[in-house]
Amino acid sequence: MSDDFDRRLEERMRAYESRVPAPGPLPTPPRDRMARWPMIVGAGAAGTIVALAAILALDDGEVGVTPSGTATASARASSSAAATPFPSDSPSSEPSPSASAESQQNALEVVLQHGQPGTTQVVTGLVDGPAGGVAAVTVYGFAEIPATGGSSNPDGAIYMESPDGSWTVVDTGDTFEGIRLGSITRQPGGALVVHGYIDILFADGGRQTTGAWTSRDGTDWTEVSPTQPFGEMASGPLGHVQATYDGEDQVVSIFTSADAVSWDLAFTRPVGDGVIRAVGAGPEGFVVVAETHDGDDQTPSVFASSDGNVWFEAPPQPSLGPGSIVTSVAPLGPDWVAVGLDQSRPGVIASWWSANGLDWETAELITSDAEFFGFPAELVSVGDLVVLSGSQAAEGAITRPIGTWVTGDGLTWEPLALGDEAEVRTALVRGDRVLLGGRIRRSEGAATIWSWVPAEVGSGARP
Amino acid sequence: MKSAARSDAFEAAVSDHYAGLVRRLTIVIGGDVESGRDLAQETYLRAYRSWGRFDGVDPRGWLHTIGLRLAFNERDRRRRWRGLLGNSIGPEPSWIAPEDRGLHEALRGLRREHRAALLLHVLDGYTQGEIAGMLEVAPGTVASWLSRAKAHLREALTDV
Repeated sequence: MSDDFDRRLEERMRAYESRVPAPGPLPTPPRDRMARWPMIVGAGAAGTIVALAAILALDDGEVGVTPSGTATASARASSSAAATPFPSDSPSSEPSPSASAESQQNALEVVLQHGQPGTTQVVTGLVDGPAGGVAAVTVYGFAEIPATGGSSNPDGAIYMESPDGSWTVVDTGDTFEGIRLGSITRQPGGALVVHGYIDILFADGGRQTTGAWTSRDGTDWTEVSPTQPFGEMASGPLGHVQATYDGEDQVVSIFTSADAVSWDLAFTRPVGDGVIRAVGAGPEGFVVVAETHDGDDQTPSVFASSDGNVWFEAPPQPSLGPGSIVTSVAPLGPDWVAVGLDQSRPGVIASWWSANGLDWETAELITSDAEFFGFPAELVSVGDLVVLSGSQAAEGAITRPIGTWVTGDGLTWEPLALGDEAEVRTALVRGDRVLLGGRIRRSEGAATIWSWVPAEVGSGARP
Repeated sequence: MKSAARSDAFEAAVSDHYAGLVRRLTIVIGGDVESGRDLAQETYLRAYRSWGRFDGVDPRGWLHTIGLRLAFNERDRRRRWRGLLGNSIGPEPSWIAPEDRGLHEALRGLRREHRAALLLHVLDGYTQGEIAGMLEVAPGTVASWLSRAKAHLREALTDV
């Protein structure tokens, strides 16, 4: 009986699989993808493999995309165009005109911009090391592939700042091969810690997992074993916080840490079918935003703590009801700012403000002339300011940066003229000057660090 | 290995498996051929990169291992995009034949891991131990997946 079922099932499945259309010519890729797949487009399956091998062999047969050490750094580059290694036909990265941001534009300098044909690179973390700044960079190689999230084959890289303000890549060997680097912090004892997501080819178990590496000098890095694989993570003056979602048990777990390596479970809460959306760490506490899915409806679940040990769940509130999707949360001095999507208001970036992380009110909605489908916006705290990078979702997953803004009060947002398709991922405050890290995303993204002296922005304090 | 030799060796080992990989990944991710092709492309890029670590024994299984891992991770990633990109499940793929609709829906009712294990077992003849090695889970886990998957299909497919 069972054998008969197995046999008929095999026949049905074999016939079913055989009807999947054979892979013909690849779909027409976007322009940047086309540049990296010129021989594949229009080729059949066999041609695909031939072309693939040929393309991969272009760079001496090695496909590692670790930076070659040719970072173009300029401590006083007034125009990022002068500092980029991209061909002259690349779109200009001159700050785009913005009347309200003129003073900011004058106070902006690009101090690092590094790209490499066939890759896209982004600065994901900045910290002051023992002898100047240290930056974590991830280099993605090959093409943008929608089904896998836009980019592939990550490698981590570390850049260090010289006394003259220039930045150069550190030779870390193969330490960060296959690692998508995230934040970089300093432990209480002074050691640097960089976090990374280990690519499936290099991870035990074949699933993306996480790792941490420590260094005393920014040059020699040693992998350590965090007590807990991390999910969404944030670091602040009170320590580090991360939140994970267990899809099997449908539980949100929040962990805290003093050194970003040893984590303590602080809070768990069943949320049903859901996801972790945002984690923030500020001078007066921590905020975690999860989301519960009920059919097509999403409802934020907000948790906050003043010390990381005792957590509270925000009561239901009109401003963050079903249809509100929080994509990022960040401290603004003692207060909190969140941004995301209000499904009842397509075409805008929604923002919210809270004094305690639990009670939220709607702030200004940021609009643009472009037609948007979604807004996976991200926030970065910069002292008493918060910088917002907004993106446009398209093609199912690929995003395109559509602007950067800054707020000093959580109420009003002013454009921040960082350049063409800029996005900010991290910041390092040095007195009145701020280093912003991220990338200019052109056809191929260039890791970028801006030096910025913020102008008067907003009121600096909420009325 | 010199680049030309490396490319030749790689091509010789994997070029015959591309179409099968696209079909397999398409089914594992629920039927979208476009995404299946993208995943297959990505699989080949990853495979090329890790060519030096391949033991040369079973290139088809090796490609499927990489592709399936990518497919599982892609599902996790898309979870975060839910809501931002709309939740509605796409229309039924146009390539689904009328006689396959029941099987298609029944397979879509399985978790990707269960679906993948079932395909590797039923169509490719891999043992539970081999599948466990490919997906890096315990053999008992694979046994459980296969049992659940078959029970689900037996209930859903009354005409089999």
